[in-house]
Amino acid sequence: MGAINKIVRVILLLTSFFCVSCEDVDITGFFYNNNPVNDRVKESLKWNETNPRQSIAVAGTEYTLLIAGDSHVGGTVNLSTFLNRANTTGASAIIIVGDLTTGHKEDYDLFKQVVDTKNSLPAFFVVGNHDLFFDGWKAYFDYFGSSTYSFKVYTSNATDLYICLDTGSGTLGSRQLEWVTSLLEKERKNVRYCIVSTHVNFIREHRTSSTNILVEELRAIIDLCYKYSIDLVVTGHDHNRSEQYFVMTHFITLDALEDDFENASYLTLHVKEDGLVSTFTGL
Amino acid sequence: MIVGKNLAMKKFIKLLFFVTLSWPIAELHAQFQLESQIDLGNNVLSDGLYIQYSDFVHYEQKYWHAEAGFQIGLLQPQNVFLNSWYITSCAKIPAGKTIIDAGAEYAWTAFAPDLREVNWVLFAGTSFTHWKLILGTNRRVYRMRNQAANEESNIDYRDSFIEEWNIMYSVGYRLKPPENKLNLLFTVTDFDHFLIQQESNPMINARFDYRLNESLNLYSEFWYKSSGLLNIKVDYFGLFIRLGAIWEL
Repeated sequence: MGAINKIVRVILLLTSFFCVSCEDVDITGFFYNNNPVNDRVKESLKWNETNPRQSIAVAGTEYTLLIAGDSHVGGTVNLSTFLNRANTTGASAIIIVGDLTTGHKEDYDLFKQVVDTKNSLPAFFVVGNHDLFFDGWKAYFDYFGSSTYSFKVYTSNATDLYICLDTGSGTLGSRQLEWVTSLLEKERKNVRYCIVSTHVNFIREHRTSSTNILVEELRAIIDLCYKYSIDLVVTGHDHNRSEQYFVMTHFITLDALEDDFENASYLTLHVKEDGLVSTFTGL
Repeated sequence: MIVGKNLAMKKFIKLLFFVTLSWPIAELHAQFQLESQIDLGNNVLSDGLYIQYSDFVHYEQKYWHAEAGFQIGLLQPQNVFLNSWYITSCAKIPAGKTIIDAGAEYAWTAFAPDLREVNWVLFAGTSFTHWKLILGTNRRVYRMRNQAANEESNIDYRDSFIEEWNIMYSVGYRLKPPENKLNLLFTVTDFDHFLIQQESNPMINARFDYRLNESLNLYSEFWYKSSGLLNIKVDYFGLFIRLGAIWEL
């Protein structure tokens, strides 16, 4: 019994040390959420009513999107490189799948400044868990509005549906799940490809210390992907690239775009008539 | 090949030997338990109340324990009736003043008409007067139902993916010694009978036990689940109440 008490003490001590020493993590967020996902989704859907996302029309039958995640601004070197390449490689749009910042207001200001000055393409963002720390949802919403929305890309002969989801607190929540199910029921049969972007990786290829979606919810998501033939799910969060396939769905987890991350990369998604071709491009 | 056959034969003989030895012991000390429980809860998936019912049979002797159970969905969002079943076997290994349970489990879950989850589990656990500890690992496979996979065979697809070794843990503290008539047990864990979360998603459970008589134990449990607890931005996921009874035969 004495040994168990010692182990408990050591765990508490290490936890306290970790809590005090990490500036990028909002410890109160581990226990309390003043903007739960159902409230965020409610705000997002209301925002969508007055600010519908612009659809993208591309010439020809093929196009390219660049997708990145986990820029974690503070540092902006890799983010700037990514935006410069997007501008010069003929991409039709960019998507950043969350953890844009550390959640601090000054980092949101910096992220917005860099995007406004260096990006010339339609840009789509979703919120990540770090973006929610330090009351970050307010800053995200003020700058970018909704984190639960969809947009379409029109080619000369097809329409593709892109769905962006808020998994910043590790769950879709009941309201968002209902919304996405309804959207798929209504739209999936009318479009060619369906691509989902969100922050927290659904598929976990290797063990990590960072939270993923709860298993019950993951089962429901896999069922949705199967039922509605989702073509591609792109996520971040894990900071390590992985690719898994299940039935028709390709699940991709991105490397982090964060400065000083050894394997920083982004995804180049070529959307073609005969399929989706994705390649990782290093920075 | 001959070496392989010999090895297989040796293993078979060992197994036969063990089973042969076990049965007389079983005759002398075996004990059966039947257990039933019902879960009533709500979560982000359920759109209101969900109700699930489970039955278990436990078979126990001095150095060995086996257990099997199943769960059916009475009211739930997923369109299946038989949700899950599992079978567990473990050895009870004396270690000083305590006993370590070390064993393996196979668990099967249907979470949609065509989709399955299978878990292979290894675990070890022990129990003290107040503390109850279990540590284990599971290998999870998501796959299509065999018939559905065959029907899809004309297209390019993958019919399964694997989640490699996940850590399972359960740390429980009971207020009174286990033989007490009334007891309260608090547990932090990432698994339940028919569900194994990833280790970063702990669940919290409080259990109240009431031993009605020598052969009947009644219990109730309260479970709380969140996403991101102690890890990212926490959010509510769900909760449920469990009512159960254990009969010792």
